[in-house]
Amino acid sequence: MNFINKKLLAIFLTSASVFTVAAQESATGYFNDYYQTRWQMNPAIGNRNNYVGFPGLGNINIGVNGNLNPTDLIYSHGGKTVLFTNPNISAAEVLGNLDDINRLGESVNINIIQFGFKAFGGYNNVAINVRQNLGVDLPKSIFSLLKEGLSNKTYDISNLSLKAKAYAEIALNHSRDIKWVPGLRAGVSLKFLLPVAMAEANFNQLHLELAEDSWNVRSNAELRLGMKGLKYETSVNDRTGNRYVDGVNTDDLGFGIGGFGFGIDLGAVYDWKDFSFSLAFTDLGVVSYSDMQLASTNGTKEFRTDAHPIAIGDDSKSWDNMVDALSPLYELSDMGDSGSTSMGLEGKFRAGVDYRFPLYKKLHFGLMNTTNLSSIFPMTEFRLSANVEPVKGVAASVSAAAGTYGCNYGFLLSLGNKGFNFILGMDYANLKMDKNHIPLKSNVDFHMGINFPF
Amino acid sequence: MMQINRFSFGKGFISMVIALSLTGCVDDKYDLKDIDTTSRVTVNNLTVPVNLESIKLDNVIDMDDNENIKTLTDANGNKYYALQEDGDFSTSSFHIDAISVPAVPIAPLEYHVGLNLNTRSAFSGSVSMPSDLPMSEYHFNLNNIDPALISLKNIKAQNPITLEVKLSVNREFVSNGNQVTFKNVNFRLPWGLISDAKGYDKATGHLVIDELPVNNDGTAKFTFKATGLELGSRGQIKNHKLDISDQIGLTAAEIAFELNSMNVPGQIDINLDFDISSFIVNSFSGEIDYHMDNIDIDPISLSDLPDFLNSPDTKISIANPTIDVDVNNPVGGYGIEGRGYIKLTSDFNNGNTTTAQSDMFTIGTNGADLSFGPGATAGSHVEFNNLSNILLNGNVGGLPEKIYVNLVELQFVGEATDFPLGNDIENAKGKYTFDAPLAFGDGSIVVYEDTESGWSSDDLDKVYIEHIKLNAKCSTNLPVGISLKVIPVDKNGDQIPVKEDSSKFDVEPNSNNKEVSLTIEGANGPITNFDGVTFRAVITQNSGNTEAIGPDQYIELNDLRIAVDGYYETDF
Repeated sequence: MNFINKKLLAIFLTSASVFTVAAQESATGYFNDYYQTRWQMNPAIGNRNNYVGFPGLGNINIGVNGNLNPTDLIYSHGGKTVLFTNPNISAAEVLGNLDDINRLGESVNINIIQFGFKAFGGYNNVAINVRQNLGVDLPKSIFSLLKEGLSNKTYDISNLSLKAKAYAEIALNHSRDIKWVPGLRAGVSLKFLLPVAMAEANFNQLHLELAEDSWNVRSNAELRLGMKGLKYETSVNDRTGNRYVDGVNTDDLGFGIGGFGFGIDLGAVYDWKDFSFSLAFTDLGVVSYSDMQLASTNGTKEFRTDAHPIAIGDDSKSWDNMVDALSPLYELSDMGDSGSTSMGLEGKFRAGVDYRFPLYKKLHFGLMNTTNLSSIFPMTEFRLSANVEPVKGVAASVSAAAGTYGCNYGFLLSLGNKGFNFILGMDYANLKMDKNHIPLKSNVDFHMGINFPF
Repeated sequence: MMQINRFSFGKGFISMVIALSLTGCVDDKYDLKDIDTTSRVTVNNLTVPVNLESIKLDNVIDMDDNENIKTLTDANGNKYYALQEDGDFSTSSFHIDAISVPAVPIAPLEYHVGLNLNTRSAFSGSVSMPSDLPMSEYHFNLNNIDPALISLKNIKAQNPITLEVKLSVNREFVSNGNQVTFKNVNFRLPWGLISDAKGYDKATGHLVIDELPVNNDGTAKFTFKATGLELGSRGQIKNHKLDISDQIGLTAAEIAFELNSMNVPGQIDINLDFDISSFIVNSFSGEIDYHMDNIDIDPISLSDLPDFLNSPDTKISIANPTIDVDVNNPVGGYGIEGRGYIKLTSDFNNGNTTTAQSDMFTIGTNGADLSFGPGATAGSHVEFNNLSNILLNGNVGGLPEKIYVNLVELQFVGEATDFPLGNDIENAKGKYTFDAPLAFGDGSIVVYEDTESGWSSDDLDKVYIEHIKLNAKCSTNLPVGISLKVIPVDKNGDQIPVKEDSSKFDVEPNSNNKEVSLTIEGANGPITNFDGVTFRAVITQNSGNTEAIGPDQYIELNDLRIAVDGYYETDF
C-alpha cells in the first residue's frame, strides 16, 4: 500500500482544488459589459466594440467542480491533518459529509482564435475553441465500505462511472436587435464540433452481497474509448484461456477527426426600463464519436462462493478454480468497434435579470440562474452579482451563488477598454485554504482572457 | 435622493474585488503538506463462508515416496494405512561334522583243547570246544560328537566297517597231510553291525559259520564287513561321546580232524585274533537338536515416517499388528522340524528399548506359513505378546528409529533318518512381512504439529486481528478422536499467546454434524506481525474402536463460517 505516498496525495488534493475553475464561462461576468465572451453564455449579448482575441489566450476557462471536496477526505484531528480513513475520525462524521453520489468534474475551454465585429445589422462573433470535460461519480457505498469496514452487508457500488470527452468547436454567432419588439435583442450561435476523444467507463452493476452463507458478486462493466486509431491491447489469461483487455495500443493513433457534431445556442435579451431580462439555451446539440472501441464484461457476470467448494490437499486446484471464476468479473473483453456513439452536449439554460441602480448608473445588479443539463454534471445555481464600472476601462463584478455545489462567491475584473482588455475572474472564489494556501474546496474555477477591442 | 460619490464607490468596489481575488480563508487546522496518512480499514465480525469439500485423509497425509507407511487394501476392498515392512532372511547352512571312529583294539584270545590220540595211528573225528570260553572286550569310541546329536539309533559308515577274524592252531595239526576244520563256529561279534553276512544276528552279534577250514599255515581267516551300526536305544550320547562296548570272542565250535600222522601234540592250541578297522560315520538316524545362531534380519528403519507420525509426543499402541513369516525347512526331508521365536526390539533415540517376543513357532517338515500377532488371520497363528506395544516408548512418547527383528532360539529337533554328517545342507530361507495397520489401540496418541509460515508481508504486518471465530458442523467416520488447536505464529517464529481455552476444538470418533467452534484471540491484544499458524492435531483412541484409518476416511466441516474482527492500519 505504499504506492501512494504523501507527495502524491498532496498533488492529488492540490490539483483537485487549485488547478481548475468551475464553469466553462464566468457566470460572474454575465452582466459585465467588458467580458467579451458573454455571447458564449447568451448568444444575444453583443459587445460595444469590435475585438480580436489573443490567439490561445483570448478566453481560457478551467474549472473543477463537484460535491466531493478535499475536506470530505481530510480532517483536522489533534492538531494534525489526517485522512478520512484515520481511525480517530468517526464513520458517522465522514459519511455525514458525503452525498449518495459524489461527483468530481473537470472542464476546460480554451479559445484558440476569436474575434467579434459589427456587421450584418448586428454583432458577430467567430471563435475556435477546444473543449474538454471529465467527470467521475463515486457512490457513497465506496466510502462506506472503506470507513465502516467490511461486514456481512450488501454493497452496491453501481453508478461508479467516469466520463470524458474532448472536441474542437467552431462557433459562429450573430445577434441583433429585433426592430418590431423594442428592447428585444436575439442571437444565435452555430457550432460545428469536431470530436477528438471520448472515454466512458461505467460499472453498470457492481453488487457485493457478503452474506454469511455465501458471498455473491455481480458485475457489469463497460469501457468505451473513441479516438482515431486507438485500439485495445489484449492478453490471454493463462489459466482460463480468456482473452482480456490489458491496455491500449496507441501505435496507430492519429489526430484526425473522429466524428462530427453540431450545436446551437439560442438567446434573447429584453430591456425594460432599468431592467434587462435575458434567457439563453446554449450547447444544444450532439456530438458523435465514430470508431468507438468497446470493452465490457459482455453482460452481467456473477460469482458465488457457495458454487466453489474448496478442497484440501488438491494442490490448490479448487482455490485456483475459484480465482479463475472471479476473473470474468473484472476481465473486460474487447468487443471491437461498436460503431459511433452520440452524446449530447453539456447543454445549459440561463435566465437572468439585470437591474441598473438608478442612483448610480455605473452600478447594476444581476441575478441569474444557470442550470446545467449535462449528463456529466447536472447542476443548478442562482447567482447574484453586482457590477460596476467606476472609471472608463475598469470594470468589476462580484457575485454570490447558491446551488448544487453550495454557496460561493466570485469576482471578475476587467482592465482596459479599447486597444487592450484583460479579464481575470473566478466564480468559486470562496477559497477555504490550508495554512499553505492550498484550497480545500473542489469547486474552483479560473477565467482569463486577453483581447484587443477596437 | 442621496447622491453617491461615484468615484469613491467604484474605488471601494474595485478594492473589494481585488481583495477577494487575492485573499481567501486560511484554515490553520489544515496542512496538506503534512498529512498524517494513518488509515484504518476495519473488518467488523465479517463472516467468511467457506464451502469445504470433505477432507479425506488422503488429502492430508502425504504418502508419496514414503517407505514405511503404505496404503493397503483388505479383503473387502477397503483401503487402509499400514506401517509395513518386509524382507528376506536365511539361516546359515546346516552342518554336522562326521564322526570318526578309530580302529578298535581287541585282545587276542587263546583256547586249549586236550586230545587223547596216542592209541591210534590215525584219527578222524571231532572234538567240541568247551563251553564258557574266555571273551575279549571291544569298544567303539565315538568322541567329539556334535552337540546337535542326542542319540544315534543307526549310523552308517562312509567306508565299510571291516572285522577281520583269524583262528590259528598248532602247525602240527596241518602238516603231514593233517587237516583241521572248525565246524559250527559261533562267534560273538559286536552287535548291531549292519551287514548282509549270512549267519550274523545283529541283535546278539553272534555269527555262525558252518565250516571254517584251517589252512596249511594253521590259520582260518575270514572278513566280516558291515555298512553301519544299528544302535537302537543304546545310542544315547553323553558328553558328546558314545562308547559302544561289549564282549567279543568265540562261544562255540567243533574242531574236526583228519589226521594222517598222529605225531601231534596232546592238545590243540587255538589263537583267536580280531581286527576291526576304523571308520567314518557319515550319516545317522537318531535324535537331533540342532541350534542355529540367532538370525539378525535387517532392522526396520522408521526414518521415513510421514510427518503426522513424527512428533516426539506420539505414542502408538498398534491395535492389530501381524507378522507373517513364510519359511522352508531344508532338513524336513530327514524328518526334522524347526522351532523358535521372533523377537522385536525397538530402539528409541533416547536410548530406551522396547522388546516383544512371540510364542514359540514350529516349522514343519514341509516348512511353515506363520502368522503372528493379534491381527493374524492367515497361516498358522502364533501368539505374540506385547507386539501391540512395540512402538511405545514407555510414557515418554515418540516412535522408534529402528525396530530390530531377530529369530532367536531357532532350533531343529526330531528323529532324523539318514541325516548326513560332514556335509553342508541347504540353509533355511524365508520372508517376513510386518504389517501394522494404523489402527490405534486404546491410549494411543498421535500428535501432529505443523507450522505454515512465511505469510508475512508488508501488508500483512499491518493487519491487526482482534479475533477469528470458526464455527462448523463436523462429521467424520474416523474411528479416532481429534483435537485441533490453532496457534498464530509471528515473524520470529514464536507462537503468539492466545486465549488458550477457546483456541481448539474436539471431534469425537464417528461424529455426525457435531457443532464445533474455535476462537483465536490474542491474549495480549490484537494479533499482529502475523506470519502463519501452527496446527496441533492430537489423535486419540479411547473408544475401543480399533478400525484402521484409511485414505477414504473423511472429516467434513459443513456450514463452515469464519468470522473475523480486526483492522488493517497503514501509513501511506
